[in-house]
Amino acid sequence: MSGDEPHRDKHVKFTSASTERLGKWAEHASDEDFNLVSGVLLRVVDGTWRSECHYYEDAIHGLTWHILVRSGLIVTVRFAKEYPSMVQLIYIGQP
Amino acid sequence: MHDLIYAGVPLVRQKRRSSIVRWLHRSPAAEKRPTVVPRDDRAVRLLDDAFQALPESSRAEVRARLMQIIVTFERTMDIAPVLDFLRSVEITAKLSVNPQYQSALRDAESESWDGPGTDARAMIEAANERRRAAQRQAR
Repeated sequence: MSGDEPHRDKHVKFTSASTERLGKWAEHASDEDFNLVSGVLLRVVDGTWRSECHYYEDAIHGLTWHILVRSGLIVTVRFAKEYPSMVQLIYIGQP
Repeated sequence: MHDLIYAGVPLVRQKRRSSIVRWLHRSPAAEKRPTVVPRDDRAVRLLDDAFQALPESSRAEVRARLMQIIVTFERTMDIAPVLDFLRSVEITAKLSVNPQYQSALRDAESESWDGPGTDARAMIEAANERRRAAQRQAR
């Protein structure tokens, strides 16, 4: 893959809005989907998520990753070059 | 023939599969290169339509990755990265016209990155609590 992931601190945290977004989605999620998505989010912060990632686009503000979950859901997260210790959860849903 | 079917979707028409599969699984000793087939204008149009469906900001990256995928396939004869690439393009194209995703993207662009942030485990636990509360309420 071309392009480099921006430098990130070891302990990445999610933005505050991400928490609200995940909570809202979780209210209607099945047990299986919730467990799968939780696993992906944990791998996003510990850096072992590359095997799940299918595509990224180099956006103006950083890098946006679309992660395909086994159940067919897409989890989209964005890293910002200006905030190396933060990640934003943008979307959980169907492609 | 499973190489040419991805996620249950045939990637090429049935009548072409056997010859492609034979070529994919040819002996390493077989030095003979395949004959270049006449240009398939319909296939080119389909590929071009898919390319045009991508968000403009993604096209340069997709083009670069396509080149890389072709070179990788030439060297390794491994079909898996090619299939992953096709799937990736399909996903990106679908998201670019998905109103729910576009709405989420607009919301995300207006959000602040300042603040202490939330640890992933704490975020998941809070979401799980909301999930359980919603389930209790639904009963």
